[in-house]
Amino acid sequence: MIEVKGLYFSYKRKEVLSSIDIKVQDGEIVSIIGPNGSGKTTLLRCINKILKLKKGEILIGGQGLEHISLRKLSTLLGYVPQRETTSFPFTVFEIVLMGRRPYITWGVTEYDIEVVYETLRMLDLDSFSNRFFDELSGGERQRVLIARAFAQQPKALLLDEPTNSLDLKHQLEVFDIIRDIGKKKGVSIIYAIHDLHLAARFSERVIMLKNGRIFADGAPESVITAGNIRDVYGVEAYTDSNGGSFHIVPLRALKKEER
Amino acid sequence: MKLHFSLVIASPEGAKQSQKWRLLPRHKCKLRPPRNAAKKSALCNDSLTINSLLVKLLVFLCACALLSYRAEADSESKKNTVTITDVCGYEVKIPFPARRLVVTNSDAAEVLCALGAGDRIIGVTAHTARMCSDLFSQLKGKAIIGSWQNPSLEKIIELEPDVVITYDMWRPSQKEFAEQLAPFGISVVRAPCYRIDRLAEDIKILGKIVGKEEKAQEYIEYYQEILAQVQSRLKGIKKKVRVYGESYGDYVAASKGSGAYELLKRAGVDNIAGNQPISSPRMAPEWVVDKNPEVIIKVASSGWVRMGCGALDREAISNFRNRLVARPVWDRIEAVKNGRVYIISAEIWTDPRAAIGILYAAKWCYPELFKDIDPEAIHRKWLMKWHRKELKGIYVYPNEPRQQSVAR
Amino acid sequence: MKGTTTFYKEFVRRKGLYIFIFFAILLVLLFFSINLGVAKIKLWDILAIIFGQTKRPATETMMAILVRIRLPRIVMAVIAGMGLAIAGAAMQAVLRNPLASSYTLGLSSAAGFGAALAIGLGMGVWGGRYGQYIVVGNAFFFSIISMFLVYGISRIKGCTPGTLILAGIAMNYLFGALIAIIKYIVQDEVLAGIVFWLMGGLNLARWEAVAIVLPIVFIPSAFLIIRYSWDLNVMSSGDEVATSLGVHPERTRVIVLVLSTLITAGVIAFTGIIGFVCLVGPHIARMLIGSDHRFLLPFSCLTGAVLLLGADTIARTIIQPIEIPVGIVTAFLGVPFFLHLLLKSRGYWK
Repeated sequence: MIEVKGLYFSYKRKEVLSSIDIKVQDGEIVSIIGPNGSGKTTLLRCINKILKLKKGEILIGGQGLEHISLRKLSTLLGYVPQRETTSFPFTVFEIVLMGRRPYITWGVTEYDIEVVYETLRMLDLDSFSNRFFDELSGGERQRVLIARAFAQQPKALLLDEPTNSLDLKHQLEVFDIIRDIGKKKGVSIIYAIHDLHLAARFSERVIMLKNGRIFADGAPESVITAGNIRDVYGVEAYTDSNGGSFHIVPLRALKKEER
Repeated sequence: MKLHFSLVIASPEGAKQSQKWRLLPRHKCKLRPPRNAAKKSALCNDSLTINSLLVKLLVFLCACALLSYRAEADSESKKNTVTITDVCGYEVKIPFPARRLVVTNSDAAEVLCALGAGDRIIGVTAHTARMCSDLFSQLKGKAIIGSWQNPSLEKIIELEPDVVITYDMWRPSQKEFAEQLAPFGISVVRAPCYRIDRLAEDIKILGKIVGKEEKAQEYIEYYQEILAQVQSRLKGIKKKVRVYGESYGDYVAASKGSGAYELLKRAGVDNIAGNQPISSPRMAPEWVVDKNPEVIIKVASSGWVRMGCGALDREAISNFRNRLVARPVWDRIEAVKNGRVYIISAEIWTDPRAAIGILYAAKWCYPELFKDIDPEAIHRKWLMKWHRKELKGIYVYPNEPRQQSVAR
Repeated sequence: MKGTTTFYKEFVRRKGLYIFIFFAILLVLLFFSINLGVAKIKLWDILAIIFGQTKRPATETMMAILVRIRLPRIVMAVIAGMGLAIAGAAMQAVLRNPLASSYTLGLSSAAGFGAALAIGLGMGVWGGRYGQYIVVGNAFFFSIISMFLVYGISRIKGCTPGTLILAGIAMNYLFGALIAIIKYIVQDEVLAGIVFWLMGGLNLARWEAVAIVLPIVFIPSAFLIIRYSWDLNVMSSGDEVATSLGVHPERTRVIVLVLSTLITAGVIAFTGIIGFVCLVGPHIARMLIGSDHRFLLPFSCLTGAVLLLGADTIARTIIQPIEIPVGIVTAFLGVPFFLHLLLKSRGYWK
């Protein structure tokens, strides 16, 4: 369980997040949405201890973040960046094996290799395992990064716009995989995401941020409404949910004086 | 004209007297009476006489050169200029006699001081001012024109010299340097003065520039007499001594093409690096041990030890030598075993005073042939005669190995 | 499942094979370099010396040359090559930059400046018996100073690999200029000493120096291999990912840079600037064995040792008894091999 209480964060003078309160249950799938600069990525980075919080606290499994060592944290939280380039050539297997780093001192055990292999198979990557990461396509790379995060065997997975650079098919594929594995392993999943359709479709709960504050928090249909889209994004949109599928039709961007 | 002829004519008489050493000062003879005292006292004649055949020939040639120059100077006397062909083959026309000299070459500065033209030098390099000021007090307080590698053109032009005297090679590129100064009516003459095989020529040119040909001639004869003496002594050697001569850098040998090679050649030794194809190459350390030289001569590099004029710290030099002989496996080299490793100051090695260095080297290698010769005394006399200075400082180490062994 | 497990084992075994092959090459090279030299020491004599047999007694001088001149130099070449290459590999990983080396971080020119300053100020003269060690110590001191300057400068901007490299290059120019000033003002004889120091070389290697360099190289290297191999792997994916995998990127960067600087400074203080091995050694290793630092770091040691020992052996024997600067040979030897691998190897810097 991840709890964020009264989080406040700023870069220099610029306030990025303020009075954020979130509680994510085990196995829950949560999307964080909001326009550019609303603080989605910053929130993930705070939870992941990449950034140091200025005020408030974050509890993971009831324990304050400041009491959890980075190594311990890496067994609790997995992280998938938007995209990644390695500075030197690593094979897919080696990249995924890095996910075992929190558990390894120097030697690699049989168990580590099995975990990596199982993860590769789950993500349908086993045929790539001796390919170089740099040689893969965008979708394949993203799957490798997800595989690495799962190889950490975390309690929760944080994904920062995981499908930004993927085409439609791969987007759906990746989200399906993450949801399935998450459900199977009981891993909480927190996405930072732009695409409202994907957010609505693949999450149980959506948190909408505006200017570093939580604007709305709840089930997808109750958060992604025409009114909220208008207030947060400044876009006139039409939403429609019937028969399990959910549609958002953006109509036009509103001018400043219309807001 | 007559004067010069008379010089040439006079010389054979003097030469007939003896081919023995004649530069020993009188008081030395008194201090250490030689076995053939009668002969010695005859030698201790202070008047400079010209002896060896070689010198005679040279003097004759010089006289001829002077004659031809005189003729030229006469024809140009109205303009008061003289044309000089320097070592690089450049013909340079300069005002005669030159009264304002800039010298970027410390060796040439030394020669000019010896010729009594030190007061005409108006600009020197920082190096010359620093190194030579003890010995050549005329150079104190002269304008500094930068370093020999990069002299300041503006400073030189500001000084308005008649002529600039430089090394023959290295920076600044001779041709460009001369071309840059030419529009200001400043000529450039190359007189390196550090290579023994060209030293006479350089001295002659300098003498010509400052109008002191006779003095220059005397100076040439003075050092050539020392050299001739060394040569005559060396006639007796049966087997040449194997010598390793090292330049400033570690394991940098004095091979063909280097100034030190010429010096060792004149000291009549078997230079173990003599046939190496590169000038001043860095040798393999094991090669020196393998060659097993009988004598080692190391030029003191001022980055590691101070020697020469004004250097009095014997312990520092001794430490330098100790470090040298402590090189790996040098304890197995004959020269080291027998204590025949010598440090010599660069001031009497590749320098106008190289004859002194050659004398030292020859004495180190063939002590029995030079028993009665004291290079330090000759050096002392040289400094007194040409620079009116006492010898102060350690120029070689160890000095007088024989005396040391007696003391032990 | 078994398939992949065996696949990975196979993968690791291949790396092990490379390490073994290069170890064998190093041994062969050692054998040759011991045999080659100005002093003609016969193989049988060497064996006799090694096995303490007196049947074919080598002359004592030959034995002394072997043990006190040739062997320390060979050992120094191996240690220096190892140290420079492993430090280069670690710096490249931690800065995520294939150009990182003792040059680009300003270490070489700082060491050069330290030595030039000591020689130029006459430390060799005033230091007396310890003059040589003052020069070495000063070279070491200044490369450490340079590292802290580089780190301090980049710290202001957040200590990213990019700013570190840029600060390093700036230091490189600064110390280069300072060396030029010293070279400009000193006398010829001093200049000769400085130039020889800067050119670098192993020909002054002695057991005393080996005894100092050995721990300076081996202790930090062991730390890097045992403690930091995984961290370096993870660091190559960027700071955020490294954090999420339990590695403090800045802390690790500083520690690894300090360890690498220690190694590099320790080596170049004694050998002069022979930095090329530092750049190329790790790349050759990486192209052959991959980027997993658990294997790359030890393997870099081997490639570096082979490269430097090979180069030095050629440098001292090709036109013997004259020696050529080892830097020339490392370049002639390393560059073609490096380019060959670069053009041939799959997936390296696409």
